Order: sequence, then C-alpha cells, then structure tokens
Amino acid sequence: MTNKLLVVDDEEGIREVLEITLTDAGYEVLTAENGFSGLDMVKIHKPDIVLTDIRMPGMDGMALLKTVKQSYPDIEVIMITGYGDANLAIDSLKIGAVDFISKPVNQDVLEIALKRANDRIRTREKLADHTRNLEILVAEKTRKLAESEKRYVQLFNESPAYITILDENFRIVESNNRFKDQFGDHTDMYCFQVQQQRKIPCDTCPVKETFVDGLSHDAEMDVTLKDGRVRRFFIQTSAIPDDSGRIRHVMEMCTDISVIHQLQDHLAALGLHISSISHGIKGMLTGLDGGDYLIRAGLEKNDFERISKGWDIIREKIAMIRQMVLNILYHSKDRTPDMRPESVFDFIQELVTTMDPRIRKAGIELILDTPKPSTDFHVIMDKTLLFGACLAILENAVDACISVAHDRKKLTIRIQVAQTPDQVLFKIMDNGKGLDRQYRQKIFSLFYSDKGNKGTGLGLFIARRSVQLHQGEIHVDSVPGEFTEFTIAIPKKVSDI
Amino acid sequence: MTKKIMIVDDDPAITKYLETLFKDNGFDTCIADDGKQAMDVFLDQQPDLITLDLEMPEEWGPRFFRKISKKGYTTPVIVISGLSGRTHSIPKAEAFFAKPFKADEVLAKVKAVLGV
Repeated sequence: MTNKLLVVDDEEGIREVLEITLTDAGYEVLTAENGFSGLDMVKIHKPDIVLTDIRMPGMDGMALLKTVKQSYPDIEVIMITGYGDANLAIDSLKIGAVDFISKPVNQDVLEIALKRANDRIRTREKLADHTRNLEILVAEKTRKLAESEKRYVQLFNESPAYITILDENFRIVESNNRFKDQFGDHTDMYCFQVQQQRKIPCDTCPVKETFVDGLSHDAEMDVTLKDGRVRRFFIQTSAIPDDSGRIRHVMEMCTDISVIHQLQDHLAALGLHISSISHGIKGMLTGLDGGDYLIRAGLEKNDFERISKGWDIIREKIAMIRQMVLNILYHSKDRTPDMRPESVFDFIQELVTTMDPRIRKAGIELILDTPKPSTDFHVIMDKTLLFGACLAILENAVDACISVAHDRKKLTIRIQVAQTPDQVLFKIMDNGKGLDRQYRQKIFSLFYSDKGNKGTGLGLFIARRSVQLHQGEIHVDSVPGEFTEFTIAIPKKVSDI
Repeated sequence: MTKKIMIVDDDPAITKYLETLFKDNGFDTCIADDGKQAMDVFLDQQPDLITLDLEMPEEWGPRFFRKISKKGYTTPVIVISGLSGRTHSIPKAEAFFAKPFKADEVLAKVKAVLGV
C-alpha cells in the first residue's frame, strides 16, 4: 500500500531532498512550506504520515502537531529537529508525535522513524479490524440469543398441553397461551381457584408432593374451564430448582384426557367389567333358584306359604335384574340433559313419597329442612337425572342406617336444601355406619359396592355422572360409625350444554 | 341326633333357599346375615357345619372363619360364593361351590361331610 505523506519544512532544499527520497521509497509525497499551509494540506489530503520541521516561522511544528493530533488522531506525525531542540523533541513525543529525527536527515534514522509510524498505523488498523469483528460477533450472538429466547417462549406457549408455573403457595407465576385460552389470564391467582373453583387447596395435589420431595408426580382431576365446561385432566409435575437447589417453583403440565376417560367409562360399562356384572347376576340367579325351589316344593306339598315366599323372591330378583339392565343401558348411551326450571318443593315431595315406605319400614326418622310451598323456588335441572342421583344416595343412606339398626337408639336421615349465591345445595345426611377414607375415594367408581350381593356398584357412579352433566359437584363427608353426608351442588344458572 | 347347619349369607333369598333345602332334608338350621353377626349365632347355636358366603358387608367370610379357628373350633365349612375363582377361598374348607350352585351337589356334599 502506498502511504500518503506530507512534508512540512520552510527550507525548500530539505523539502526537495525528502520529496525525492520518499517518492523513491514508494510514498505519495505532498509538501508544504509552513504550519498553516501544512494544516490546509492535511485537511484536504488526509495524509497517513506528516513529517514536519519543529521550527518554522508562523505556525511552527509543535502547533501543527497539536492541531493535527486533535483533529486527526490517526495521522502519525514525525518531528524534524535541529541542533538544541532535544527538549522540544521530547515534549513532542508527549503530545503524540511517533518519533523525531534530527537534521541533517540521516537516511537510516528516517527509515526507522517511518517504520515506527507505519507499524503504529498497521497496529491501529488491526485493532480497528478486531474491534469491528468483535462488534459483528456480538451483534450476531445477540441476535441468536434473542431468536433462541423467542423460540423457547414459542415452544412454551404453543406446547400441546396446559402448562403453569406455580410457587409454594400454589399461585400461578406463569402460564402458556393454551392455558390462558381455556382458563383466562390469571397470573397471581391460586391454581385451585382457577382450575377447580375451590377456596382451599385440593386434598391430593401433585404440586404439593413435588415441593416436598422434588420428584415428578401425577394425578387425574376434573377441572372447570372458563366457559364452565368440566374436563378431565391428567396432571404431571416437575420441580424447578433455583441456583442453590431450592425448589422455588413447580411446573404443572396438564393433558385433557376427557375423551379417553369417557371412552374408558364406556368400555368399562360395555364389557370390561362384565365379571362384576356377572358376579351380581350369579347372586340373582341363585336367588331365582331359591324361589324356584320354594315354589316347586310348595306345589308338591300344597304349601301356599312356600309358594308365596318363593314368588316374592323371584319378583324381588326380577326387579333387581331389571334395574341393573336399565342402569347398564342408560350408561351405555349418551344422554343430553333436558334442563327445565323445576320446583324444589315438588322435587323433594316426590323424592320423599318414593322413599317413604322403605324409610318407614326401617324405622328411620326423616327430617326435612327443605323449602315449604311459601318459600319454594325453582332450579334449572334435568329432573329425571337429578332425581335418580338423589334416590341412589337416599337408598345408600337407608342401607347405612339399617346396617347399624341393632346398636343405634335413633336412626335419622336428614334432607336439606340450601342456597349459596351461585349454587343450590342438596344435602342428604344419615347417622348410619359411615364410610372410611378408603371407601370415600372409591365410592363413585364404576361397579364399586360395599353392599355385597345387594349392590350393583352403579348407583353412585351414575349419580356422579348425572351431577356432572349439570356442571355440578358431588361430595361426600363422613365419620365412620357416626354419619355420612352427601352434598350435590348444582349451579343456579347453567350455560348451554 | 339331628345335625345343625349354620347358613351365612347376606342375601335373604339365598338363606331362605338353603334353609328350606336343608330343613326339607332333615337338618336343623340357623342363619347369620353377615360375618360380624355370625360369631354370636355360631357360639349360641354350636352348629355341626357352616355354609359360608365370602363377600359380605361388614365382615367377610374368611375373617369369620379365622376367628372360629383361633378359638379352636374345627367345625367343617362349605364355601358358597359368587366369586368365580378359589383365590379368596378358605384353604381348609371342605368344598367350594360357585353361585348359582346345584342344590343336589351341595346337599350331597353336606351329607358326606356330616356322615349321614
């Protein structure tokens, strides 16, 4: 590369000699005879190197050096000094000259000074290059980082699952778009509040377990979406520890398994649990055999009492088989609830009329804490569905009372109807044998019965389904040996189903 | 002396059936509705043989059997249950009949066990 070089000296001879020498050395040489014209040349031609005499009339070399370095710090300046300028020469180095050479100019000394100036220029160029590359690199990395961050946020948001990040108090710290779409944006609210409409945490909570042991846990739960629909979720959790290893957050990932769950229920109803049904049928068949035996023996011996007893058994078993078949058929079909406003008073009257004979026969006192005609109100419900649910619970209440009849002075069943701002509560409480915790968990499962041959395991399962079709809830509370209380909570206004 | 058979089953239709069947064939009978009540009836009536259902509310058959075995009784037991396998059966039982059972077969076994 040819360097542009400016020679500033008031002595023409020196300018000429230097011009010839430096042109031979490959420089493009410009000349000026004093500081002012030198400065003008600098401004116009922007030389790489300025070679200037220190002592000149007008603007001297020191002033030129100062001005050049101020305005063009990248231009290297070499000072030409005369005899006795040693102090000035040193001062010039202090204010930015790269070197100085003394007059008369020695060729070798000039070369060394020029080499020094060129080295400095190259170093500066390299440094500038390096800085430029570094800037490009940083820009590139920053772009990649931003892209990758955006990508991760996108992955989080578009995951085909409902994801929330929860703190130790079960508050939602973050949630992905899918979650927000279905539940609304509820950052800082509690997960049980948003997903379950509960005021307190759920009894079994996989998030809680993960906070305790740091391991992944799972659970199945019914959740309510913002449009009121109830869906079955499979929930998995994982711990998110901070740098110190403390678990500050837990991620909850939910998958909607409603369809699978419905399918499971149907498959179960349609056949997988045939062994349970056949168990019930075996008992009924044995009963029918017994009735048949009594009737035949009665006919042989002309014993009408036997015939009558046998016939009673056969009728009872036929009724049981009919009920069971109806239940199975009912369950195997999809049913859209027929929602109409119904009088609560009429509803309870009908329920009591249906159950009264059994309740009376068992010697149970029935306490009603329900609306009178004067305080009656209407609830939107599918009467057949809800009636079936209440009937199943009442049947259970009577059985629970009968099983402790021998050591209870007073057997009672209490039916209560209460209202909250948005729900109507039907409570059925008995002081029968009660349910232990284990039973309470299983009680709404398909084909679960603790009544031996008497139960089909369908009653409460269908009751729960019926209540769910009302977008309601069914709970059971009990103390073994003391009481059982079922609560059916139906929303006062139900959105379109 | 007339032999006495204790019938343990929670279904009244079945206890009535077995009661009539056994009485018609010259046996005395006594009845318990579930495993819990069975102990009182057993101690009171001291039967010669027990027909025992397995699945009953309150207390199930095998538990009642263990209780009387612990007390040193060796009264023969015939299991009559709706359970299809022998998994929940009582190993020391004389026989296992699945519901619905054949009356002749149960009767024959009862007679064989009691030696009549």
